[in-house]
Amino acid sequence: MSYGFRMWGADSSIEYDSGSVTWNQVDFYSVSAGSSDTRTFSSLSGKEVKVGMFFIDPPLTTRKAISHTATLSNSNTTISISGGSEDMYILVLMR
Amino acid sequence: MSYGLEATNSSGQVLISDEFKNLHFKQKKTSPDYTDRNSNGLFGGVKLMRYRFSLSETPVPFFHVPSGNSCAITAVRSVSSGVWDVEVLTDGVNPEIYIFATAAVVSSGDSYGVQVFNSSNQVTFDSRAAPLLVTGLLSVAQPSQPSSSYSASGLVAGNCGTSSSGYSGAFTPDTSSNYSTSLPTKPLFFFTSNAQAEREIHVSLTEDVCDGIDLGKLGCAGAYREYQYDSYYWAFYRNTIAWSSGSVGSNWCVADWGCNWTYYVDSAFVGIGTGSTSSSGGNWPYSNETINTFNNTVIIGDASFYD
Repeated sequence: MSYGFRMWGADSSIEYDSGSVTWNQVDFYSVSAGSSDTRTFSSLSGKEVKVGMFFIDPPLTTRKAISHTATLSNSNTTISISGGSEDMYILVLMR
Repeated sequence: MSYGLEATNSSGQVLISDEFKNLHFKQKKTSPDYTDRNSNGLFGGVKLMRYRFSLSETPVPFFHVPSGNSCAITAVRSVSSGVWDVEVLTDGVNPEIYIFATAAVVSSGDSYGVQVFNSSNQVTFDSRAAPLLVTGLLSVAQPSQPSSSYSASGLVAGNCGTSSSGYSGAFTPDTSSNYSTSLPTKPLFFFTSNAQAEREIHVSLTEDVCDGIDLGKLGCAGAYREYQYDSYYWAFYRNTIAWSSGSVGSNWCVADWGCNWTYYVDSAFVGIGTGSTSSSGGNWPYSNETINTFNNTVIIGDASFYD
């Protein structure tokens, strides 16, 4: 690598390499079935933000499991979650 | 920022920050604790299983499967305080599950490296605690159809008379939306299955039985019976991903299957109805539709960092 930084462990293995773009966890929380949630993180302004969602305890086939949807607004500083029929975990990442 | 540390790359992307917590590697498992569904190769392979982890905070699960195999995280469940089940669906293989969480825990004796603290004196980054290194990220859509065709050929209409081994081929998924990307030798994926689809094949049969005098084209003189058989063979799919060198494919994997049938007989004598009977059986999914079909995020890492 011509620039950036690496960190090695005591056994000489690479523990961190800035060439491998890492994502930071902004928040991790749950949103209940049928409810909505809006959070604002002012420091996300202008940053790249990704939202991952996964079901907490979904049925297999006994009922329709509608996922929440995530919406980013205000230069990615506001994250709105709504519309789901199941409890879901929300993972917000940024870089 | 007025204090702390923020490292960015040449694109202005944040690598390390005291304001947010990095994910750090916690645990790895190579085989499930429970297998809830196994088709033993039918339907293109189906294995729905749970990996159990003890962790003081909510786990963020990643997986590695061999090239060409399909996989997705379908749920995370809190079993009891500090105990979690990660539910995984594959096309038959056992994935390796890697658990990440924010808290950095370092084995004693590892006394050098870099730590970053936030204003609450919490560690947000620790080079000794195997921080998550993301090598790629994709936004993927699933194919509109799990399979390119659903053939009713050979399926029995009466009472779901075809066994699962007989109709599994009609539902085997064979579609994929492929995305080119650079992958390490042993890629690690974060992908949660939200999209779901159900497909049905309806087979019906009508039979007339003349108990009186069969007059050929003129019909039946006297008593007759009319039988109606309907069977609905179905498969329930979840969105999964598979990888090969330089590519990640978004596809579908069967998660459940079954059949529902109805039977109806109508009796008459010289054209006057004398009664009818009906019955039904089998199991039935919730509906015949595709839901949660928005683009989904695939986070890619290098599993060899954590082996």
